[in-house]
Amino acid sequence: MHRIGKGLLGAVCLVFLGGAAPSTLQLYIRNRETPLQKQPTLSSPVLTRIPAGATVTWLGAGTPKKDFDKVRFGTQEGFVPHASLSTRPPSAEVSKTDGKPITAQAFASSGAATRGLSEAGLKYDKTKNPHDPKLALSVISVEGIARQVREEKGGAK
Amino acid sequence: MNARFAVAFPLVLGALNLPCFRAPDANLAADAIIEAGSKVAARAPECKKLASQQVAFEEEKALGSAVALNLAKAEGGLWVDVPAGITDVAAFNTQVNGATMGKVTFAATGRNQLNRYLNKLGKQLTQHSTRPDISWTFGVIDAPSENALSTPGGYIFVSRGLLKKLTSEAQLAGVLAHEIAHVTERHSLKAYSDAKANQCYIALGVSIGAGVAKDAVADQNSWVKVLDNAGALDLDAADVSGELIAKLVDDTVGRLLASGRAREDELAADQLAIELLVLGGFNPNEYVNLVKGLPEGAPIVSHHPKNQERVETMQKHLEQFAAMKPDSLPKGDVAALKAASTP
Repeated sequence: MHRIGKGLLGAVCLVFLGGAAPSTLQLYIRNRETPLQKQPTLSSPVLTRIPAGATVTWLGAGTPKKDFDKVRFGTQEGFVPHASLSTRPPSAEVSKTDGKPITAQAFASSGAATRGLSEAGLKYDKTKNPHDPKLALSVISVEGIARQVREEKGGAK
Repeated sequence: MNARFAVAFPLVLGALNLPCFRAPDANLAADAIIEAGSKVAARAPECKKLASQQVAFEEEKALGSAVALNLAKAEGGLWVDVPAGITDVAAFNTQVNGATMGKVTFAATGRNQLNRYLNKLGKQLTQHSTRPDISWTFGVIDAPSENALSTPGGYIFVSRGLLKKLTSEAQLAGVLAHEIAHVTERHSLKAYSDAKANQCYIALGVSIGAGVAKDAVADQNSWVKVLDNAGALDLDAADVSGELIAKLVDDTVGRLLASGRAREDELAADQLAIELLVLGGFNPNEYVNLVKGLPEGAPIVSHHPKNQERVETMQKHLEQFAAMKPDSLPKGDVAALKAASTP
């Protein structure tokens, strides 16, 4: 029970070298093949592509809107979309068949990530509320709204 | 051995020692049943490993669906408008979660708009989390209490009472970020894994002997399958009964309600919330101030960290992000938020 908690408190995934200077803040890339761009625009030349889970050094906000950040990856400096950054490495999911870790790509393509209210949830509801579908319908409605928002293109804002 | 598990184990050993109710003239079939039961019971100690195995997302989501229904019911239902004329749960679920999603229209009512807003805000935070790709669902609980809840699988609910109390969008983002952290760190799944091991022990332990009820045999078979399948339990499978799901869910919820979350889980969720707020573009001090003003925990959660400890932990953690901390405070339309959460 305490494994994760201790891990978090004991190994916060931020590294500060030589004090709290902003240029030593380490962040993680969460998207696969994130382009490191020369300028803070999507049309700018791609210097290299950064794999998911790699660390970059945060150098500052890339634009006044803060939709890009200036980072250092290895020896190269450039810009990445702000949405691609995370303070911690991606969490590994495990396979439902053998319990072994699966890649983010395999997880995404498995369809598991898009699951809504499950058969188990429906069965549970039938057992507990055999004559009142209202609750299940309301949960499914909220899921539907959530799904529509998730699938909207563009940024979160 | 986990403390909760240590409590469950002797109880099951007691069950294993129950006398067999076989009549003196029992036939060979009864002997065969008992022999089979003994073999199954011999596997009960294997249930222990279920308490420490990572749960696959499919299983987590299945559990979360049931727990979400449990919590939503306990808290007074959800604050949302179901499309008119919808009565068939299974058909609606298939429509919403299947390929025909585009055909579903949710009226732009105040309630639905509030849910949309919450999900947009949530998306702004989850995209920076360690589990950005799971199907996050944010909703409003129709309750006057000031409460926020999360379940495994990414269901997060905020009560109308809490929405009314908040004074900025950043505060709401902080509440959501804290709950998101509980999901990404799988805090509730510890209670589920303990419940799973416990229910496995009980099912395999009491099944020794003849005269076992049919549903107990079905449960027993489900658990043997779980042990044979590296601990994975397909809660959505046709042969998993609603009763077994209910036992697991009620056991899990019971554990969470009885002991609350662990102190270190709460502090860890606060720290992660700070990180999500900073990356999401929200002023984390708004959340720190909100926690500062919360009423201290009820007696049942008295072992939880005091607000002062939470605040100090967050402030210390925040120092590490001084360079990134947003210098402006996105306000959002708090007035509209309050209006939408009022009947």
